Amino acid sequence: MLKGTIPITESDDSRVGELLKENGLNLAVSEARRVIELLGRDPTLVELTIFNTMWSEHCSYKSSRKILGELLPTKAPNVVMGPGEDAGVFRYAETGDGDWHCLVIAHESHNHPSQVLPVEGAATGIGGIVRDVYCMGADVVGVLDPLRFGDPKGPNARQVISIARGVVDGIAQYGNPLGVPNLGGDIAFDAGFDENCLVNVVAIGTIRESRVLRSRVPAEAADTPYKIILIGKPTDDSGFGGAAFASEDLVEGEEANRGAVQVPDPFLKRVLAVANRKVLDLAEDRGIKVGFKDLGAGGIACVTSELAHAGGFGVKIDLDAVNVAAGHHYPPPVVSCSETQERYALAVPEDFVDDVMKIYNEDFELPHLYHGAGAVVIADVTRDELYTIESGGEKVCETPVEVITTGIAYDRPKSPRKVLFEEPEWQEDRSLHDDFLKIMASPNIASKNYVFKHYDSEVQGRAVIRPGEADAGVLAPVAGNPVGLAVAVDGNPWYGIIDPYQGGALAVCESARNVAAVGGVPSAITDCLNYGNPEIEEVFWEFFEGVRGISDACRGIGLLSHDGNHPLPVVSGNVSFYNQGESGKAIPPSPIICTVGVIEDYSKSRSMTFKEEGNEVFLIGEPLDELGGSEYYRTIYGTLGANVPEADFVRERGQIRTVLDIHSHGWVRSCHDTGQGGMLTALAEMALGGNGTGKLGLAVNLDEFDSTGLPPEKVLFSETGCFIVELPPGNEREILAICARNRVKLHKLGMLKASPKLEVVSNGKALASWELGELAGIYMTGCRSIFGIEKGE
Amino acid sequence: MARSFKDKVAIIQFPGVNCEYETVDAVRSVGLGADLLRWNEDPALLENALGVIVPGGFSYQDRIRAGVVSAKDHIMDKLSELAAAGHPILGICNGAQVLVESGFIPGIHWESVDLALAPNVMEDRDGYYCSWTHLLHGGTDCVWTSAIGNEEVVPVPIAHAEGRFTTDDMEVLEGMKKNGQIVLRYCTQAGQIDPSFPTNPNGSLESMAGVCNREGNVLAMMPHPERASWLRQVPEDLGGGWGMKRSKAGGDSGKMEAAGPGRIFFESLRRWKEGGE
Amino acid sequence: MKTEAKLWVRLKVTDLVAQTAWMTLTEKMGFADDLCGVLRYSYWAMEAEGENAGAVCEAIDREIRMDSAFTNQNKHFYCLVVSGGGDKAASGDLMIDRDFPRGECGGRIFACDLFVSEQGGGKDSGYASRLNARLAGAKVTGMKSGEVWRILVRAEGAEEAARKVEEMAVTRSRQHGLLLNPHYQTFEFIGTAEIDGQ
Repeated sequence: MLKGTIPITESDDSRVGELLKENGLNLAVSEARRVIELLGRDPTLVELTIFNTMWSEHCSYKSSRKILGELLPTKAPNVVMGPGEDAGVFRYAETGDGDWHCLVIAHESHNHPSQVLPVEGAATGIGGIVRDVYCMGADVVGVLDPLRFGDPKGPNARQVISIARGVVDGIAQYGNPLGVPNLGGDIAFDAGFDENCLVNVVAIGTIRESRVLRSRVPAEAADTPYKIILIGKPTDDSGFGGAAFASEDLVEGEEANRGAVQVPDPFLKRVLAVANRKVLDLAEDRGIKVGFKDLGAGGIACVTSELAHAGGFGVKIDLDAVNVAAGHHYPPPVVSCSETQERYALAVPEDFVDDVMKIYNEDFELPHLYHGAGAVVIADVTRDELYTIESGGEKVCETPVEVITTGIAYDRPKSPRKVLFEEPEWQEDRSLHDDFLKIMASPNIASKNYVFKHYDSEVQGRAVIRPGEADAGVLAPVAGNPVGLAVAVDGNPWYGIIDPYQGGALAVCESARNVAAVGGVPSAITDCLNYGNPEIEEVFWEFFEGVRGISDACRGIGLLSHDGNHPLPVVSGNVSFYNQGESGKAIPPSPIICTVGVIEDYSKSRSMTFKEEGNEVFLIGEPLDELGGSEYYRTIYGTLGANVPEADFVRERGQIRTVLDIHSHGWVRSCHDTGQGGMLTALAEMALGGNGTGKLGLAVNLDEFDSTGLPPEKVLFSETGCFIVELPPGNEREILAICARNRVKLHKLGMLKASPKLEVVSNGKALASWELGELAGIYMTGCRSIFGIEKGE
Repeated sequence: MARSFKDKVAIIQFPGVNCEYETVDAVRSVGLGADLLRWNEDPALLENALGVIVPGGFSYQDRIRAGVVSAKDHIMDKLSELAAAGHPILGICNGAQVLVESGFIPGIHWESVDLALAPNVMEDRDGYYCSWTHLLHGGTDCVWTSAIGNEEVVPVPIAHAEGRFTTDDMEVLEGMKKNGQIVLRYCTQAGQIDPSFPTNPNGSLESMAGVCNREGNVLAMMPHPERASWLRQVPEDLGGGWGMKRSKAGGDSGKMEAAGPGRIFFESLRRWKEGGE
Repeated sequence: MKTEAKLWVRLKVTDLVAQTAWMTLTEKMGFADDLCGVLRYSYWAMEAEGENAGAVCEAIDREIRMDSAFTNQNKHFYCLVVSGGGDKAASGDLMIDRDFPRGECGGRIFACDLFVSEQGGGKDSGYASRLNARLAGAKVTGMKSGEVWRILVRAEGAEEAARKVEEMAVTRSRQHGLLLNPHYQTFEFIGTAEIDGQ
């Protein structure tokens, strides 16, 4: 018989509310009643705590699941595993022996914890996401961080800067010791993130398809007794209620919130990664089937129930066997649901247990390296499909395992946000020269090199293009094989403010463009959907529109590597709601997309720096009157404007095909897409290069754009997505043919000169010119005041 | 099957190091055998090893001070024996910190800790710094730099927060200079010594990037040669001869798999081995 | 008036660095019989000016609570002591550490506080300017930052205790010394007291 049940059945709603609150649970009263229906009786505190976690927005996707399922394309011929597992998996190259090299990718947010404890929050973000990739059996080969901070010059500057620095520190403090290279990411600043920063994390790993592990007890457990081993850090209360925390509005200074932030340990994680590899290789050698899963939200309860349920088994857990932090005693709900970092669960046959324990506890001395850490057997896999937890000789949970993993879903109402956006009144007599200097100095445009150098981007020795050198990071993942992987993240908050649909669609387009710029065929995306409170109808509408935009873009761009009409698949993702601060104002709608591109031959990927005098520079595409949300409007006119770029998927697809065709001929010397800041900013970035040391100049001929009828500023700063390519002279005819075939426009911008100067020329007259040295001074230091150390007196 | 390191390079896997696998690859790229040895395995396995590398990373999480906890480990008794007997030992980054905290480097007074690898001192920033640097080779004959010409410039990346060679003991410094133990110094692409950031990326005394012992068999270097052992690892925008070579290899993946500038350190060991045979 | 302000900060969670120091000293360096415990604090010794000690304490306390370069209340306990009026601001207990491993110690036990800082003062001026930029009603005129190791050691007297701690701390060779490298760090004893044995 179960002891200590909570009397929900007999209590009225207000009493149930009190009971939930007394026990620190965020479940709604209606949800507590639903638990009774499922169990057929009153729950124990452990059971209620489990549901509290499993039914949090973070774990259950209760608000978003329906829309995601209906809209997002997740199937394509290259996909091995789509959303649903810890990470998505897709094939990128044949191994030559009948197997496939696969990429494993996961993408998550760690927004609330980073706002409260920036260093630990950002570090734990990496810690959690790499675990999702490791537990598929993969080796993690890179991480990226899309970051959104508040206005570093606004009224909350002090806190904003302190958070920004803390987050960068946390990423460095975790990623560097772990030995996983940082492949980039992006950083945007807007007052809309003052009270709620965004810290998203992407991790990618590689594995052979035949070795992909599943998060389930293997079918062999029907014939052989299986045990579940808990591996890693001793369980404590540091992350108790973490999943529930991520699903609440952020309230300043609330102690209960703060206790939910986990303490990360990259050292232990590194040792675990090495030891896990030994264990998994040994199992593979012996032909032993195992189930492997990391502990994240919901801790032991979540991991054991999901391992068992996915395999069609039951499980009996002995909570007393769990190694807890030295000198502590925690009540059963804490031990079963705490979110202590750096833990994994492994289901193995009984006769393999000793070998596994030896590797962790003796060979790698986990208990010695970290007080209380190690591998312990905590559960038996059973064939009765019952989920049982025992503590102190008593059952504290007993129910069919499928009850525990039963989902919950809401149909949230939505209604369009009604805000009128207007274009600014055009000013004729502005100084192009001075305005461009302002743009290059803007924190959103200025080089992030200063930040990137805090991160180890060289470890593992597989980086070909590093953060800041081009639009995407590039790796050569397979020794002796020319295949390359390009990864980029994108998401423009200002487009989303004006039009949340375009915000989603353009994030896909822009990140696809980024990987194409280095020769990568966009092959899969992940999405991290950051929004405010979904219970607010306008916010939920923003979310719906964003997903619709992503979905349309994936279908519109398609999977260019395969014949037939396949979408660019969404293989993994995450939804983060309740991103708002004390004021209740939601963040700008922020769908953030990571696109992975597969490069046939990584040696053709080039940095974005201009290469050689005499080479010709072309624009593929054409700027339109689309400056809504642009850097130009925001920095120069102080307004968002209205004409947000409109995603045109046929054009995007054509432009991407064009660039990839030119790449495949090996003609590209440098390439960069025009996004934030428009064409002129992109040209300056190419002239300066990632280090700011470029010496080749260009006179941009605006006569080419007379037919657009746009004033020079609009041509130069429009954020319509295009590509700029540098090609050796003599290829113009072939390029024109490729453009014609793909139905895209081509404009010749000029020829590279050995003089370090960027000029804009119209009708033979220079409208403005800038010395590269002057631009470099502004561009390379624009972010230093935000992230730099404070100098002494 | 008994493990043996006979004629192979042993790469010591202290808990928390993170460059051990690519270091194995880099050694193998010159045709030498290489394997990992866990810190708590039997040190006697090292008896016939060709050489030992203590790789980069964060052994024991840099707790207390980078390198110091590993320096106290049991396996260092064996490394001490090997060092004294003239076996080649290389410490890269965290490995260099271990060798300095063990007193193998500079080794003027045996096992006396006469140097430190202190926190970086940089213009406008502190903490961890990851960047490519240029190294000027010179000084005494060292096993690990023997294939590098005198005054030759070798580009190699660094990634560390505590890489500033320093000492309180000016006699030791004079001794190191007199003995030619400062075999690698940070320099410009053209080979000029400039003590200021970023040419000297961490404020190292005398722009020291790598210091060997008097006998030349033990080298502690902060830069990572294993991250510069293939041409594809060189950044295209690096500039100079290697940057140019890398840029020219664009579009030819075969050329990209050729040797990078850092391989010369492992190549030096191979030539040393052949010279001894 | 001129005062001295001292800020002590320790982790709320298990201090793995102190734990590693304990394990290295006892298991690898032969101090199992002498060492009874290791605690570690971040430490700032400041000279400050203000109307009175109370005002200085209040002003500094307000800033260090806000600035995670000094404390973050989600992960630290701290204690700020200002001389002159005996003013004090604190959160949590600085001494008791339930996670802290300690040996079986009989006989007389001394707690020696060893202040270790970087030669040349590393970040000191940065800390000072950081505080002064926002301090209201006080000004920091001197700053020394670093960490304090509180070593619990068995000894016959304070002198012997200090000698043993110095032996444990100052790295002279592979076999000797752990907690600081004298080539870039300096140390000073800022307190030695006999405590009750267990």
